[in-house]
Amino acid sequence: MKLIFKNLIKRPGRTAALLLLSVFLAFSVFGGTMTVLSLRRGLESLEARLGADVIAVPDKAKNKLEDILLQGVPGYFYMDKENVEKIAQTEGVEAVSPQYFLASVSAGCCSVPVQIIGFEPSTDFSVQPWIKQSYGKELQNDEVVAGANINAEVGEHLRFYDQSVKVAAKLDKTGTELDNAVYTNADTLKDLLGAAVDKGLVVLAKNDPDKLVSSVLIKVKDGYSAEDVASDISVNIRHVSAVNTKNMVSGIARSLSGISDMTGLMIIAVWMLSLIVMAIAFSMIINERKREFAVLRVIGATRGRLAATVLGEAFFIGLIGGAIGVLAGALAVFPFSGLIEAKLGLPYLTPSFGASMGAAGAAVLSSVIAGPLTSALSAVRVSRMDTGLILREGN
Amino acid sequence: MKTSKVTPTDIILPILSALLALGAVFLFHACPAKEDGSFMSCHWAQETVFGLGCVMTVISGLHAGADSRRMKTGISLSMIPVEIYTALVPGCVVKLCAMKNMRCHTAMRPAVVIISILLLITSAVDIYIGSKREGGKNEADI
Repeated sequence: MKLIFKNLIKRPGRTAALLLLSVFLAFSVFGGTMTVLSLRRGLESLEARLGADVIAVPDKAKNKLEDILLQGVPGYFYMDKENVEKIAQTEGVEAVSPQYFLASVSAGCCSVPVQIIGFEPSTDFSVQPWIKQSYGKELQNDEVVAGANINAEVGEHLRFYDQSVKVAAKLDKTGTELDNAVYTNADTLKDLLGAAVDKGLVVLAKNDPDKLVSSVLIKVKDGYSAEDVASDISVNIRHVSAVNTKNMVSGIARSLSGISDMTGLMIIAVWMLSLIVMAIAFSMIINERKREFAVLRVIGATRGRLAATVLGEAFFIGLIGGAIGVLAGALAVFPFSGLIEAKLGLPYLTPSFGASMGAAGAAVLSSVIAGPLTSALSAVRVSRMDTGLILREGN
Repeated sequence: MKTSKVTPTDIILPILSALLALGAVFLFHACPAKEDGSFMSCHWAQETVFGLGCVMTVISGLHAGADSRRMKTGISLSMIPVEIYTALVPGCVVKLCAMKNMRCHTAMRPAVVIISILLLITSAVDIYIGSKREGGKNEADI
């Protein structure tokens, strides 16, 4: 063991070059795996976060709904509130909860608009299950529930249209565009609308939340198909279009599958390339160190001991390089998860601690395996070499 | 006077400091100006980080050029509070934007914190190297 470490320390250039390969290998395996896991978790989270089996919206607003829910583009559209009752009476519908989308506004300091969603706390089944800390009482007037990406903690105030609202609760991070929204009840919504009208946005005055809704979230009874219920609503209720949420996320699932395949191929390619380069490097290094091993044989080291030294060096290079690679990958993947999410434009939620540790373990293992695997042939060559011949070659 | 041996920290400190200063402007800059031309608060965090990065580049340049090991250790010690303060600038000292998916939260803050921590580690290593060399020298003197 002492000899292995001395060999590694005394030749820093050689050790650094081999370490770099191991670092690169572990970095790509860990980074790639974490990205794919985060995208998968993001998709699962999106399906769960939507909460509803079917969403009913005004005719022609289907694309706008997808923009709001999947792309995070704030928007608004309205239909008669009477439709909520009609939808509730449709066969196969178990529960309905209306939502009201307020026109996009710039929040306080920032130029980015925020989607304000009015919901009915008494019927809601899609917002409240995601509340991180229960506020223990009904949502009061001038209180909001903030999505995870809103930079305000519970008890702090936000300003919309110069109207101050208190953050009563925060939602858990879901990795979806719904993290960027603010949720509130009908009374607060009316106050905000009034404030918007006071600021000169008179166009909003006619959108009375008592008479209009933007969307209706629908839970389908067991034994009924969401597809059938959606088409039933679309056909039978005028000016209403119902969307099966599973179909809505299928496009994202396709993109995710493409990215997963590409990342998988990239990891395999990097692994194969690293194996080839490391095998060549070990072979060249062993060739250079023939005389060193011959001298060790002369002073009593067994053939097995020499092979173990070569394999041991490769093992420790793989282990140390793997650990550094995972650390570098963690520094790239965790702090910059928001940036990766923005660049990919897909739901992205960092995996749980257990899954992250699993990915880290797999990355280190891939690097540890690569070391001895690529040096095995060189170790065999070392153990079989003719000591006398090598020592005579030098004279 | 005997000149001090060049250590890797002599090179790493100015590189990281310059990366902090230039990166804050060109690589991991804050959110762009609003449509009306005014800036959001994160812009001032970027300006502060740029200023601190420039100061640290100059100080770490002095560190690299210093002759004595004690002077290098002293400079590294003086950099530690600046490095901690720099890490706290985006988000703690200067408020960032209201949305966590904005550039100042997703790019500038993590990059500034990571580079500041790397600078902190490098300074600590430099102080450790300095204390070891000073210790060795004192023993030899005895």
